[in-house]
Amino acid sequence: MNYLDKAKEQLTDLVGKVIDSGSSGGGTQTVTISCPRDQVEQFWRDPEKLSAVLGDIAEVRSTGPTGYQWILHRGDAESITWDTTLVAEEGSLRFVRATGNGSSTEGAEIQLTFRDAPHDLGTEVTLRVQSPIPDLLTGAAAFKVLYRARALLQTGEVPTLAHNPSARAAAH
Amino acid sequence: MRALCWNGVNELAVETVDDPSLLNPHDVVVRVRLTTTCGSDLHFIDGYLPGMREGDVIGHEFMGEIVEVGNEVTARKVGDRVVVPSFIGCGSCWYCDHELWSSCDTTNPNAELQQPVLGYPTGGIYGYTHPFGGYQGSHAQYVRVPFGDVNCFTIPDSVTDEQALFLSDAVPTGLMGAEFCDISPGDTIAVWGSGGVGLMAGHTARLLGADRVIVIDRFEERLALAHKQFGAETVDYTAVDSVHEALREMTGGRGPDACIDAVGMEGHGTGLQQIYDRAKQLLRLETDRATPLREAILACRKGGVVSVLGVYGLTDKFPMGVVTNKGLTVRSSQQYGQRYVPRMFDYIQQGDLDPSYLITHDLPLEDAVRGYDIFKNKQEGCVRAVFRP
Ligand SMILES: [Zn+2]
Ligand SMILES: [Zn+2]
Repeated sequence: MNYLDKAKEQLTDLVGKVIDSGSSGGGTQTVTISCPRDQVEQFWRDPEKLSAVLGDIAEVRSTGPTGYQWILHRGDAESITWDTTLVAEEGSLRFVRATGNGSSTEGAEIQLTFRDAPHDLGTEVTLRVQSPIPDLLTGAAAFKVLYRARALLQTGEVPTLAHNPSARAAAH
Repeated sequence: MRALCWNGVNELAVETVDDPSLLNPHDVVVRVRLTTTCGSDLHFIDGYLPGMREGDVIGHEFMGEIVEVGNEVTARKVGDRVVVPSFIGCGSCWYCDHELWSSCDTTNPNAELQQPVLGYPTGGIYGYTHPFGGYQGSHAQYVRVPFGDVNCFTIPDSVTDEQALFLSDAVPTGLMGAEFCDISPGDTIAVWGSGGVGLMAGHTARLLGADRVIVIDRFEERLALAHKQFGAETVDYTAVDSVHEALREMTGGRGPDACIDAVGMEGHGTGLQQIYDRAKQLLRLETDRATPLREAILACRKGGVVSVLGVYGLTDKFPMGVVTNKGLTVRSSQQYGQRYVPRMFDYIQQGDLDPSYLITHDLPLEDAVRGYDIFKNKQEGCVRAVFRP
């Protein structure tokens, strides 16, 4: 089965594929998190929490009340910096390219939408990504981010294999 | 520390690897006292289950002593003698709340590898491929156990290490499989496979009130064990023309009320179907040889339950028409260990069950490669080999 290789490839090599052209479509994934909606919404405004769930994919810093800088890691290659503004609307949060920030990230957007889940199951969160981040956060990677967010919100920790004495060091 | 590593298909070695440490606030580190081989390990040792990486420490069934606890561990402490279910639960997601522990929604660090295949990922498990979490396994001196409060069960003084060991996986898997059968007094339950899980399924089916348990296998010593330990009737499938015919005759033409498949994808059988499956599997056209599963579906009485404990991949030729026309219920899951531990302690303390009879080989961890060889090839009457790190 090659799904393992495929997903790994998506996760580890994607950053290197960030390109100028606005490739269409992106990762759209949805999970239900058993926490109240305001708590879940607040989570995505916290750069520290964002960095925690992005793990080795990216790091997020605050650059102002609605300013967020994303440092996208690309393995051995140089990191890419992406400056965004947070646009809050009813039921959604959008990270959009900050103005005066070069054309390479034109059209890029990360959108989170929130709905109350039925039967007190918590909050339904949809993560939708448009280029160039989709190359970074497509399918598997978007799911990984949501999975980690749910884990952190519900249990207070993100499952990790850091320093796992399993597999050769090179295979981590 | 020393640990048994998977280095490639059919390549195992005991090596020195880094010690595990506390990484998350709910973690504990357990010093392993006993750990055992499991039939499901054979699927990736043989290369039929994908997702192992060179150097992975294997093993998922163990007990030991807590040597370190994280900041937020409150119910367990250093020095506790504990048994740890093989699937890792968090204790706070919807699935853990509903006691479907192996389906935990937060403990698989590689969940994105499973989502495309299963639709929704399972929880993590120790030493059992990267899609299943990639956690370090238990055939080692130490193991990191996430959510120590919910995954470590303190063993009562009157229960020995050897008895507690199998509460990690073989007993709860068997008990869950027996519970799936909705046993009513008077029922006849047939069990394919008399390895550790099959024996525990048969044994606990008896405890749940089954009148008769029929165990099907080809190893005389295992069948003898089933007869001796819980009064099972036995069928050596190599000695009969057809397992189905034998079962039909034994049950007055009605069929068993429920059938438990405790074999899985590398099942053996006889006849043309077996040759066909084996050939396809060798050519990698099929991942599974589902002989026991098909036999169970065919043999089960109309309206009965087929309970599947064996591990399968994407099995082809699943006889759905038989399931429909006979009105069968098929139930299956990875085991919900945490749900059953208190009940299993009771069974042992009441003298209803002593799973330590599964231990046929007791070896130091340094002999684990030989232990797996004996276990895999069923030499020396091996049911389970246990290792002492
Ligand atoms: Zn097992
Ligand atoms: Zn859980």
